[in-house]
Amino acid sequence: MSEADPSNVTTSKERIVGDEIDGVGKQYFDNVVIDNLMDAFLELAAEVWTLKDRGIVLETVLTDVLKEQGKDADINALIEAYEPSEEIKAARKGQRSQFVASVFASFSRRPV
Amino acid sequence: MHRGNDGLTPRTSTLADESYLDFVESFRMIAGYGVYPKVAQVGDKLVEEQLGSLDPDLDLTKVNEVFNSTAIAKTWQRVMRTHQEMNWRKVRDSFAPFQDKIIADMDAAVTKGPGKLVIDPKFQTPDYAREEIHLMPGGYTDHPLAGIIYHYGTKVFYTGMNDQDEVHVELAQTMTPPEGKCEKILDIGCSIGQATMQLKDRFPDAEVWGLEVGEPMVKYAHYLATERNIDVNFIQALAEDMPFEDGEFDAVLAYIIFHEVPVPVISGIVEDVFRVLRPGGTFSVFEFPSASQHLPPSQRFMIDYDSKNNCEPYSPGFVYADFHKIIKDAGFTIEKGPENSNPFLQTLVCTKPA
Repeated sequence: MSEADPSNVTTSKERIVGDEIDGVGKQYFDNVVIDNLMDAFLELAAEVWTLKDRGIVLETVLTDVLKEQGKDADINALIEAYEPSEEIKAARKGQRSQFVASVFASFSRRPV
Repeated sequence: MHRGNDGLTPRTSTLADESYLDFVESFRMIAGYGVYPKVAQVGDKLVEEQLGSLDPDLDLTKVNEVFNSTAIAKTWQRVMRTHQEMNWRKVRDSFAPFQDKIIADMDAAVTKGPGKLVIDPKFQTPDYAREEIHLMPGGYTDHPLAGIIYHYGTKVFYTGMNDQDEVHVELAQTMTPPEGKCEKILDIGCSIGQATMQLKDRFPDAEVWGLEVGEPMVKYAHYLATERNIDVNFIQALAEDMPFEDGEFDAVLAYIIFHEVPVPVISGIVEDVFRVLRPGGTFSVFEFPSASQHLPPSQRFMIDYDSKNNCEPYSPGFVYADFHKIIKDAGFTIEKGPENSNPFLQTLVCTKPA
């Protein structure tokens, strides 16, 4: 066995699982607002792609399903003509609030 | 809803998570391969102008000051940290709803074959191994889903180049077997056993072992091996204190383990690998660059940044240690190993004299 003793190089600091990604975060710019804005910008960009990707998948799936049923449909035209119910409107509003909170979480992360 | 696998890689719990992480993966390409070369170009030029040379012995604090005076370096540091946090958060949260099922699947596989899983209930994880390396929540040891989190998180890290374990296929195919028999092979710091399983593919008649410090990692590795019906064995143990006999192995593989441990442990690992290898056995090393090589200021800046901002607490110790001397002091002879498609890595073939 080796002579290396791990206890010689350890610390006994308390560890919180996820502290690196959920903690107070790092600052790289002299003005922390720039850090916050860049975090928000990246989060927003990720959300934009996520939605765009879902739209691509949704239209592909719908077209395929309709084709299987022997129907050719202009999915884009159907989407533009869609009128939501009040219930659907409320549900979308809830999801929109979650989206905004997610994108701008960095604004309250570093209260310096 | 469990969305199954995409080949060898598990799928996230929702399409939205997959799309989000696809974005992070693409962004990593831009940040790492698009922005960093510019940081290096601008920074090295400024260092030469302001500090008079690109000498590898330049004071690192001064090198960092020069780099940090540029907008591009600050931007790069910000986005590297942010995209890494985004990756781990989303991966962790995506698999969290299935935690009970994933754990149940791993537990059910514990006693299944064809290979063995060895976990010593008295095993004590040293504190040094419990860092949240690369910002991974809980590191390799402290999150019950560390295996699957690591699996998908590193899929993003490899930016599409390892979706089907291509990196690990290359490691297994290019590691150097010894002259004579190669009947027993060990993969130290095996994580979730991606290279371990590929070693079995290359050496189907050999007994192959993967060794790793994190229990959730080896449990997941064993689960994957049972799902794929691959006859490899996994053990939770310390590579510097292996529960194997002297001369038991013909070949040992190590892929980027040494920069993740403190310098005294590096020596301990090398010495214990020397012990468990038979005379004439080979130790194939794929690792970060180290002081044995001359590093330009931009790489020193990047390694220092990575250490402080990507939870790589031990990498500077490794990089500035004389790794080759440690290997030679243990008794090995060293030769340069085969070229790897990742040019950042050094590859070594260390042989225990016959």
